[in-house]
Amino acid sequence: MSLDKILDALVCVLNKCSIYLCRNKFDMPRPRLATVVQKPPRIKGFTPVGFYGDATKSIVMNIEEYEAIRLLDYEHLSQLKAAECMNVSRPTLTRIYERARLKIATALTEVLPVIIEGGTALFSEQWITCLKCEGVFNNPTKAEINGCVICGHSDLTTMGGEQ
Amino acid sequence: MIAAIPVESASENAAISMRFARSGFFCILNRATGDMQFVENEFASSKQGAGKGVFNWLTGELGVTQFMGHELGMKLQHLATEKKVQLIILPTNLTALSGLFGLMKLQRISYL
Repeated sequence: MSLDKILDALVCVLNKCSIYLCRNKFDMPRPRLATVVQKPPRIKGFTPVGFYGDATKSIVMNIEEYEAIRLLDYEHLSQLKAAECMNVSRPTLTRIYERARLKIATALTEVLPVIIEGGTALFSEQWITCLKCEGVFNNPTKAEINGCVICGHSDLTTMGGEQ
Repeated sequence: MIAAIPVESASENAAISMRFARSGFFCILNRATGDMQFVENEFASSKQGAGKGVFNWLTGELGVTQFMGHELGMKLQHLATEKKVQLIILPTNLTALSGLFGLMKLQRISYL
């Protein structure tokens, strides 16, 4: 093999490496981790009584924001306990809660409908996390689990907690 | 056990799609044999009901019993719970299909 061909191959490999690094470290933000929601909302949203405004405008509230309001304001849980239930840290729960309150205040003040949708929530009490690969899975058949369904590792933990 | 993984193209090095029902393709993986095939998602650009349509298509026609993805929507989770389909949320640092195969230690991906 000539020196030119070796150099070409080397340049090709370096290009691929740089593309991979750029894509993973700079172009894409880290995806949000999934939160655990004990009770999903029974409706898709709320509309103000006597609403004759612009139907295209609405406030979109995530499922986890709804859950934060439910746990803190309806169930009267402490922030620490609610954070444990949702499988997030206490500061993260505070940020979610502040976003939710701001959206509710905006909807009330500006007379806008509230749509509850989106977010990265998991609806179940049977979610299991692998401590090695950080994969999360459920167990719908209630069968005995000996290891992670992705990597097979046996260090597993249950996500969230029952109230 | 047959798993469905949403991917953005039909190759073993394809990026795993962030969205499940709206992904361009699915990798249908037989986890017992390591065989896989790529199918185009016909519900990717449907106006509504993509989650339900994809669920019925994958579980009915293709016999899928595991859904793998980074995000799985509320409707899909409800349907999966009803039909006893296992849901697997992939680690967030996993971006490519080849990385997932390496994690699963599949025999046919011996070059990884």
